[in-house]
This record gives sequence, structure tokens and C-alpha cells, in this order.
Amino acid sequence: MEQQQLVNELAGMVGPVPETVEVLGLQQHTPDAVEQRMQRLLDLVGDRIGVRPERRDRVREDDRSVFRLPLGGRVTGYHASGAVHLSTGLPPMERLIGPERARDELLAMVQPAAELLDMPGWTGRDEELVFERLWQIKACAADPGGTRAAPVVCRAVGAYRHVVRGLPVLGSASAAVQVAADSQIDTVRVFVRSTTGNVLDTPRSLEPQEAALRAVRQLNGLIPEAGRSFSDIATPVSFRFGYLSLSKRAPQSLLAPMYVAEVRTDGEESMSYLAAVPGTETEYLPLSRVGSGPATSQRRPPH
Amino acid sequence: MATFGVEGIRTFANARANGVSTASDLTYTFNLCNGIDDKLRSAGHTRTFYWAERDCWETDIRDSDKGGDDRDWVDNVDLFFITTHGNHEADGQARMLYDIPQTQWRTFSGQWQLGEDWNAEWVLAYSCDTVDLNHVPGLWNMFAGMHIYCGAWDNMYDAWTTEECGRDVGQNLIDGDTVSHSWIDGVSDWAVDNHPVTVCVGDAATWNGGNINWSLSYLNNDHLWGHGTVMNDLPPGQQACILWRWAEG
Repeated sequence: MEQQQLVNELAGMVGPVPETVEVLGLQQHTPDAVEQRMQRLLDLVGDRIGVRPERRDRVREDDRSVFRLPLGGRVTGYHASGAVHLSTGLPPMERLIGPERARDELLAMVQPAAELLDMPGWTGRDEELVFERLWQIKACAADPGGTRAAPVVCRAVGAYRHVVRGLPVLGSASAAVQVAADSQIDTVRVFVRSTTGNVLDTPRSLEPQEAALRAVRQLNGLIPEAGRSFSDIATPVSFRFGYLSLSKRAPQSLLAPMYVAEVRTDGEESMSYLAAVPGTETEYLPLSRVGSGPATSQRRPPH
Repeated sequence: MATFGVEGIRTFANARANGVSTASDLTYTFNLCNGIDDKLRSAGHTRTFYWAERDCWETDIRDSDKGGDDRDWVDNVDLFFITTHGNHEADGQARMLYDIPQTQWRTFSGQWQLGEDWNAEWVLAYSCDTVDLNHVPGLWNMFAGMHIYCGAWDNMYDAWTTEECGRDVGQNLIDGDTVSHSWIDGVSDWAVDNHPVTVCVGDAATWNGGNINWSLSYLNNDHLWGHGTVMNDLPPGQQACILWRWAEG
């Protein structure tokens, strides 16, 4: 595909882009505040998972706090972001949901667990957590003769997206509820960065065509040599506009508009990539596009 | 405690220049590698090797009986983590790409026999599409005592949302989660579709005439050394089924 075609196709995939977008301040959490969020999660679901919320051991580490629960369960809170994650310790192949089910049936299993989370309580004014996607964890087996067992559904996962003033906060799921048979809670994640309510700026949005060009230029760096082009092996999948949340171990002081391009490469070896570029001329949220180097200087002698 | 090895390839300029593959470079290879390396070492596990870029060789995982050197590398550690490009063959074999032909450009799982008299229990590959869900038995030969292969059944993502996957998998392992859960939970952000899958073999009691007794499987019981139960090796003569668990959305 020619580079310009890739740019055009990406630009054509984005939904409505507002003329201006507010840059919003984010709350910064102390470890104590993160532990309050962990306690809140435990208070909300404790009865359902058979854990008395006061029965836990607390461990505070460098970048996270952990409440140890009975039977291998735990609640983890990440100091940099306030993300909280509860795991009941249920072995992965126990309490299976059973034979493959219709999507609506699995959604109906996730819903009661999700309602326990009091989702509005995790978000601010003009914000919401909306359902985004249903996931399933399945299992299957075969014998040496090629006989296959019927697939079994192990878990259903409901994923939810934080929406702030009408814009999605792109990145990992903002909340995810994983259930076993009979809607039994297995794991819960809540990764909502809380806004302060302060509007830091109201810049004009970048045009989709220009943003798509910048995303493609960024991706071109993945094949740097002359005479070859990333676009040659690329298939556009989506192009979205919204706020962006960094990973849960990364601190973040504001929500700023970004475009996110999703592209799949073709060929003998394929890969999927996300490229994020600012949604405004000013870059409010620096995003590392370099990646780390190896944590080793070990070199091996020639064979 | 466990021993482990890490290999990560981020750039594929040599493979492209030699017409081996059109594969593009990756961005977060070493975020993934460093993450699992850091977490496992923080819990007292021993890194035996960590090779990067063109120091990663296909002979490290190829069986010593087939001209490789696995007894000194992948089959000499309990856990092996690799990040590179991958795919599978029509018969279900996994394959992965290297940026140097030492001695081949790609590894094919038909030449792996892991866990024999040696050591390997778990191989974790953050590589696209090394498992074909329609031909999972094509991976069978790699299980010569090895417990679980963790991979992907379609594309994985190179993105800021997945840069912490290695750290998350490592953290899950040392927090006492099963290996299967550690992988699927650790590489899933439930936003992009990383297609994680874990594959193992089981005995006749697990196959149970096709009415699978899942609770007996490695998928349900195997933990990293020092963090929970580790089931016994299952030699090829006792293997009666292959089992796999995956996420889809």
C-alpha cells in the first residue's frame, strides 16, 4: 500500500472529532489513597467472594500495595496510577462455565458482578464507564488419534471503557470483570484515572488527515532502511480519537487528546501495532516511542 | 527456586536485507524482557542467560539430537521467555524468526524436544501466531517432559498498552498464580486482542475418555518453582492428550 493511501484510509476511519478539546488535570494518589481504593473494591465485592473486608494482610512495596486474602487471593493497587486489581485465587480450570454459550448469555453472567462494582462511584462528573467488549477464556483438548473434546468456556470477561466528557480514555480496559460459573467473581480490574475537574487548556484538535500522516511517519521508523516502507506491508485496522491513559505503573498528570492508529502488518511474520500521536499541535502528554534497551550487557562469543 | 533465560529481538534489518522476511522492527521488546527478568530476579530466581538481538540463535532451542544446542540453553533452564516475530506452519508447528542465521534464520518447533533429561518446564513466547488453534497437536513433539508452552494464536501487539506485559506475567508468577493464568492474565489488557494461549500435555486420567478432567492438568496446577505446586514431568510414553486454554474477544 502506498503511504498516502494508508494515511487516507486511517483518516477515514476516525469518528467525529470535536473542534476543540479540554485538557484535564488528573488526581495524583498517595499510597494511602491507593490503599483506600483497594479497600473500597474489597468492600464492594467482599461478601460476594466470601472475604470479610477487614481480614487481610497489607504489604506495601516500592510501586504497589498488596492486600493478601485467604486462599491465594489478593488485591493490588498501583501507586503511580491508582489502578486496583483483585484476584480471588480461584484455580483457572475450576468453576468452569461449561459448553460454549451465546454471547448474550455470557453477558448476563458478567452483568451482576459488574453491578457490584458501583461503576459511577469510580468516575467524576460528566464521566461514565461504558461496556466495551466481551471476552471469553476457553479450553479444549485432543488425543493422539485426533479426537477432539468439545470446547469449554472457563471464564467470561466484561471490559468497560472510561468516557470523559464524551471522549473515550484509550489504553488498557478501564475496568474488567472476569467471572466463573454462576457469575462467581474471579478477577476484577479498575483502572480509572480520576480527574480533578480542572481544565488546563482548551486547544484546537488536529485534523485527522494530519494526525494520520504523523502516525504513519512514526510507524515508518519500524523499517528505517531506504528503499523499503512500512506502508508496503501495512493494513489499517482502526483510527480513534480520545484521551489516552498510560500504563498502570506510569504516573500521569493530565488527560490530553490523542489519536491512536491500529495497524496490522502482513507477510511471513505479521504483527499488530498501535501508534499514538497528539490530537493537538501542542504535545501535552509525552509518550515514549523509543522502548527500553536490554537490561544486559552480556555478549556471546561467535559460534 | 527457578533458573530462567531470556531472549529478545527488536530489530530485523539483517533478515530484511537478506530477503528472509519483510518483518518490521518492534518497539517494546526489551520492556517486555526486562520486565519479566526484573520480577523473577527480585524474587530470588536465577537468570542463567539474557541474549539480545543477534546474540539470540535458533540453536538455543533446537534439540541437541537435531543439531541444536538446547541442552546448554533453553533446556538447561526452568523457564524460557522470548520475544520475536513468529508464525506457524500448515501442520501446526510453531516457528520464530531470528536476525542472524545461527545456524538458521527461523526455528521450527518440530525440532524442539524440551524437558527430556534436562530441565525446561515452561517456554513463554511473546510472538505472533505460533499456535494454530486448528492444529494444536502439531506442537506435541516439543513436550518431552516440558509442562506448558505459552504463546499466541493470532497477532500480538507492540504498543504502549502492552509494554508492561513481561512485568505483569513475572509479577503474577511470583505472586503465586498458576503459569497458565499468569500468562493469559499478564499479556491481556482486555482492550487490544493479544490472543494468548497456553498448551500442555496430559495423562490418561486427564483425558478420561474425552470427558476431560481439567482439574488434573498442568493448566490448573502448575506454578513457578517456589510459588506453589509444580506437577511432575510427564514423559512422552504417558502422554494421552494435548490441552490448550486461550482468550478470545
